[in-house]
Amino acid sequence: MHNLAQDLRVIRAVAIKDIKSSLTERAFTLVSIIIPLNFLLLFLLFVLTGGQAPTAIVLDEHGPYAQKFVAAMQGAHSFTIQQTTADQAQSLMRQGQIVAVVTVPADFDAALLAGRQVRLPVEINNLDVDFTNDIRRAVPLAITSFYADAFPDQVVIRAQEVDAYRQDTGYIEYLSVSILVIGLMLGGLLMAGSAAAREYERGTIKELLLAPASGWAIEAGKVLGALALTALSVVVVLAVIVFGLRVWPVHWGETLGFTLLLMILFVALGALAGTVIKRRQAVIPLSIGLALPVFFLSGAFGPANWGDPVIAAVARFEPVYYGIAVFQQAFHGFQTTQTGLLANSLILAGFAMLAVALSARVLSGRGVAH
Amino acid sequence: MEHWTAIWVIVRKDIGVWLRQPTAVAATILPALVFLLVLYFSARAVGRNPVALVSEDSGPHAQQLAAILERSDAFDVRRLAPAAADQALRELDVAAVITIPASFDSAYEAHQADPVTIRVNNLNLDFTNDLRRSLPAAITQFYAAQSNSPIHVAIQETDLRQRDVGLLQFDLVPDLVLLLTIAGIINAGLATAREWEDATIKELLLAPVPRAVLIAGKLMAGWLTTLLIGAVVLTLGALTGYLRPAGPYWVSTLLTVLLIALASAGLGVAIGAATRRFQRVTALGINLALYLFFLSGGISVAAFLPGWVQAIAHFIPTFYGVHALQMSIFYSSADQLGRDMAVLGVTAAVTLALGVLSLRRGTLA
Repeated sequence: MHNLAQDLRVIRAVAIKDIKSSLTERAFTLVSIIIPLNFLLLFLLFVLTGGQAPTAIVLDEHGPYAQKFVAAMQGAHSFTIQQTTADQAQSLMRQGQIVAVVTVPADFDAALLAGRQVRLPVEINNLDVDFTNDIRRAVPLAITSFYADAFPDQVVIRAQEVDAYRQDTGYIEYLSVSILVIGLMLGGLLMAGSAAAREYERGTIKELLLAPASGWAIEAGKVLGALALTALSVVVVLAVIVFGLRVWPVHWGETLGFTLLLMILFVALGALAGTVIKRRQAVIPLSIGLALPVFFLSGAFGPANWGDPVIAAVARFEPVYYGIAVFQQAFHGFQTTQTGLLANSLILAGFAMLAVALSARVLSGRGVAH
Repeated sequence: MEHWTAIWVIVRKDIGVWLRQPTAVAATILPALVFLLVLYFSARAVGRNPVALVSEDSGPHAQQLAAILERSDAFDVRRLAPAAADQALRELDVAAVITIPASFDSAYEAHQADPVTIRVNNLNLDFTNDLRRSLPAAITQFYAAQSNSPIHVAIQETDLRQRDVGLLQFDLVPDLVLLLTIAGIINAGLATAREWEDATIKELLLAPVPRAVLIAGKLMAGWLTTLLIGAVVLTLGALTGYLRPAGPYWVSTLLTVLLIALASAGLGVAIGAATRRFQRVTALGINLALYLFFLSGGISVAAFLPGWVQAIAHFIPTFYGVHALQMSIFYSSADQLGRDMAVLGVTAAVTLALGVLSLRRGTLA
């Protein structure tokens, strides 16, 4: 009983000390809090267009078939269309404001009525083959859709889509949830990592380890302090996603529970990194710099096993992969990994316990060496 | 001559200290290198969605469509039986199941409605729209292959560039710029802030040399270490063929890299002198580098971004660096090279001036 009370006092004292120390470095603490928000905003910039190619349509023909073709292009899920003259289209292309020009020729309607071949000029700014291929596939899609509408008895083969979910989920809604997990990782690593490394830089680790307190209690205090600081950035990012982007979780309880679990996991990993590296100069760039590759590695854009098999195999060994899976489940009800929700939760809990145990162990071991 | 000696001494000292901190060096460079590796593997799968193909008709038209789907660069097709396809969709092995119905050939011959079903796991619009585009594209190819095709609209494609550039290759350029920017800002920034952290700034300021010389020494050291990192990436890129400019375009490529590294190191010196603390330099510097990376196009193509982001991008110096490198490396073109070099040169000069100004303000304080 006495030991427990003593440990609780140590935990409280270490947590308060770490919070106060961080607050004396206001500029750094503020930057650390807004970094996850920065990530969210920067990544979202690139899905605002939804991968739709800004395209100019030059109509040299205004007949009904030409109009139907324009409607088919607008329904192709692939273009942001503006109608321009040929000169305006060239000017926009030169300025890099559009990436394709589709010209409907003057004899479009007459040729189709007469059953003659029509050449449809498509000019593409073929910068990157991924984006270029989207356009190359979308123009035939528009042509086939146009035919299915204008000549239903001639083009009989059609794609009939059956969706697994009742409504489509926008890329912003999907990606923002994945970014939230990276935000949790970044916040935890930065706050706990720099708090742990600070003890070595200032030489206060000696006092801490020579104090009549258990390594577990010290570690728990450090984790608790970093959790409190990380909570600030988590609340900000979560508020932006829920109230700003209006991505409302399907399961609020799971969202809050998994947020806490991931915060503990990443804070413990941060404490471990700070204790091993001992220098904030290295811990901070490593934490921020790793966010980008880990994000790409963990199935942030969609289920990892729809991508490269090497990436999918590596992803299974790191917690962000499971973190994204449980959050997509909590926010949208999606399953994005082959393991189910229960298995993912247990794996994350295992990662968290391992991280806490390892960082406490390393803290005790390193302290002796110091 | 004395000034050159002072600059040389500062450069030697800073590079010596940098080399004695392998952890910090690794922490700065490693993430960008890991990102390169992840990008390499990710790019291999982009645009090719795994789908199960169930062909219930063994007729010639059905098999022709199936063959087109299998050859399509939009799909990674696995032919499966209906039950296995259902299971694959349920267990996330595939993103969609395409079913060619048993009546496909007879309906086609009879000019009756002939639907090909695609069951899509529509969990986000990026994958879903790729699939929505790709099946009709295959149907269009199918019709184009028929001798009596009813589709009389043929695409006449003209490409603005003489060649297509793969996703990985295209993304390597902004990644190189990100690496140069992070390395420049962090190395030069930390080297400058260290003088305050170690309290050696007094000795430097009391030395009988102008402050511009101190800044020049710091800048030169940061520039050289950044160039060293850039040289490693460029050499690897050239050896693998991913980043290999043709003949004279090596000159514009190297000039661009030199200017980006110089501007980044200048920014690092300015931030280091203004903030004087390691953690502020790293936190501010990396955030700034990420903003520069994303706002200059980042992992996307600037032309696909909303108009207001494109407008902001034109005020971001790295946008011009990325443009100059893409033109030189991929298209052997000097298109707007003068403009790009001028922007990067002016940016380097401005950051140098900011560095001198920060040091002066710091001294007075």
